[in-house]
Amino acid sequence: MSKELLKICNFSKTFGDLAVLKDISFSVKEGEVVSIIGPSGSGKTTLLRCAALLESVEKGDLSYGDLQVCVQGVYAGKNVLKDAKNRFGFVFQNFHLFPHYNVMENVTKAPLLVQKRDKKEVEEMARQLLKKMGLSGKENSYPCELSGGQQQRVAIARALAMKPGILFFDEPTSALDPELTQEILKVIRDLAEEKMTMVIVTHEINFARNVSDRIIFMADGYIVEEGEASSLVDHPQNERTKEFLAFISQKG
Amino acid sequence: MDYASMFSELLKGLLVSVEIFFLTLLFALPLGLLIAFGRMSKNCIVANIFRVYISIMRGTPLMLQLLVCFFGPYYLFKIPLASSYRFAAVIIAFSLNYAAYCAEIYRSGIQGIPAGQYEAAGVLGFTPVQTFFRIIFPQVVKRVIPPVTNEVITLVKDTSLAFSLSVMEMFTMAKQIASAHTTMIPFVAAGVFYYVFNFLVAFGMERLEKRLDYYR
Amino acid sequence: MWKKMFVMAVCGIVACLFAGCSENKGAKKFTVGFDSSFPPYGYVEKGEFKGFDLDLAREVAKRNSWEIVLKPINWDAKDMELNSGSIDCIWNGFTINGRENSYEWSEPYVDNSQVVLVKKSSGIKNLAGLKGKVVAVQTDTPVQKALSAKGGREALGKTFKKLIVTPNYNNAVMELEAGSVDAVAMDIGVAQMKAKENKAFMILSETVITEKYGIGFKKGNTALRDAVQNTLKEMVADGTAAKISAKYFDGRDVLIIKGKTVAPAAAAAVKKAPAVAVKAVAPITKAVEKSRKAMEKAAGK
Repeated sequence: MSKELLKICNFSKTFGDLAVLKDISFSVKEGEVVSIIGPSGSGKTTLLRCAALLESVEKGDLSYGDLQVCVQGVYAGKNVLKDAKNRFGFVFQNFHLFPHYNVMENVTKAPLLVQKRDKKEVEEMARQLLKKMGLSGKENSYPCELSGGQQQRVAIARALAMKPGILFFDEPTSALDPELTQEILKVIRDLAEEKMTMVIVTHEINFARNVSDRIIFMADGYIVEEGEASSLVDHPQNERTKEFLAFISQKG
Repeated sequence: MDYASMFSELLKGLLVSVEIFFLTLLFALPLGLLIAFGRMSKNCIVANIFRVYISIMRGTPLMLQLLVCFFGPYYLFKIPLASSYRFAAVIIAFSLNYAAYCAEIYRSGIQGIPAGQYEAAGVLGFTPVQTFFRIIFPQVVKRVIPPVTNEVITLVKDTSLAFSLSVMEMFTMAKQIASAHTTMIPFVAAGVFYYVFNFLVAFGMERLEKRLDYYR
Repeated sequence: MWKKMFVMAVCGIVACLFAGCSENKGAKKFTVGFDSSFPPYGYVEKGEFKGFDLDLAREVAKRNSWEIVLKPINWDAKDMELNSGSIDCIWNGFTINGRENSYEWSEPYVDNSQVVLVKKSSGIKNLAGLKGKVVAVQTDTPVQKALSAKGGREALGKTFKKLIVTPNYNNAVMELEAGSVDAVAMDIGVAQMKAKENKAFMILSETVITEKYGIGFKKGNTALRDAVQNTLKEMVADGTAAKISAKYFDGRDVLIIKGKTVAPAAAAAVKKAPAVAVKAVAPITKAVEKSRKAMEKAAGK
């Protein structure tokens, strides 16, 4: 049994009167790839953002391995949160690269400034990561000079440079053209093969089915159905899941 | 009066103008940042104090602020004034006034940075201070250069207001020479000085803008 | 527009020519020579001659039923104009001091002396006491010119620690009050007003510049001088002169000539406004010296 890297218990969150997360619980084991799917407004992005400490929950527990980040909606101190941020990486839908830094600086700034790692080591690692992302030779380019797909690959390299235990993707291909989508999906697939632990919020059902170990289907702030990837997509049990998958396949 | 001595008088005045100019920038630019922070404070009392401050500084004439800065200590608190306080009062009034304008420019620049930049920095573990100085501020600088250039050029011309506290800057010198010798030449010369000064300022700011043009 | 102006100018010239020819026909003419670029005493505004002295002259002519002729002159040629009889008098902020024997002078009617206002508590008693002190002057005033380089009182100016030039006299007086300057050199009229308002101030008895204005007539022409002077005194007595002064000097009465009712006709006017007349005359009558001494005496207490 591999160890649990992320554990979420009874997450609840409201935006004003609207409950966006209702009693959500799930966990992610080392090496596991989990996809979260569901219609717009189902709360899947909010769930991911809460896990990444970009937003806070009102109720529930959150822990990264042995690190208790939030207990019963009460967050731990600064140092614990800082520690937790070293355990995950986050890839945004709109990349959010730093426009005033070149590709190399985008990847190396955080390891150097936050983790205070050795410059030589960090730059060597960054070069390796960029090579892996197919971005060799782009080290000195600025984000504005890159295509969307290239920018997203830099963003993935930036997240990986922190050596996270778990990587979150928030709809990583939604802002991209279809042909650029494929290059990102390939990168994620490669990472999955390397046993990178990942949680992916996505609309690409087929991709989710192929790359994930497990899929979580969310609707109206609940986890409606959760299961092994291919069986959930091929044989959904819940009516909502069936409806959603039918709608997606029709559209696709 | 021969031209040589006229120009040397004007240059003396120019030196005073330049001094006011640089000292004001030196204090107003950083002070503006602090005021911008105060104005954006989550504490609504603090935010409102700075809001009122900015409103007063922008809503009253600089000349009045100069008089208040100089005469205020005596007329409000009965502190006898020294003549040497004169120049300091000019710098204080100019700095406080220009800081208010800069603060609003900074604020618009800071608030114009997409939230995603803060989030990206946040998930990478940057501290708020690191986030501001490494990620946000460099981008703000690029955004605020054009409006700040405007303010800086206005400042060059506003230095002539220092005369309301009897500080003899260039324009006052020009007026005096002109009235003493019934000639318009000092005004023309002063106009040329101002223009050249502003031209250099604009040129410098443009260069800076170009240097930051490498992204977006 | 231009055409109209041209026609008017031609008519004016023609009228002048005729006026010259027909000297003895109609009312007696009273021709006043003045420098048209000496505000507020005499200047041109919107094509018309205006000024404190010109208004006084107009009123004098009106009361004597004279026809007034205002004649701008080349200041350098003023003596020739006067001696040739082409003007009857020079009335235009005309300084008596130094020209006492060149003209038949009226009594001085404006004191343009420049004095020094200090705080009584400063211990400054005379101009020598200003050595090493900070002195303020208003910009563009005679006293500023006098105390600056190449001015008549440059030597005095050089003893000061610093000469501060303020945009207006009010600022200078505020600075004196606040302590950022030790003295203010200014017009005697304003200084007296300020010393009256604020008992902490006093005026030094030594003046920086002594200067009084009078009306200059051709040597020997005492008849016209007396006529004009008497009318002017009437105008002072009935308050008309004070009103004219107020118009040009921010509400101040700058006249130092003593009012006198001469003609019985004027008596009625005095009755109508005696308070004004007394008020106007009282603070600045007789020798200015006297009131100044009184003030200093008060300061000494």
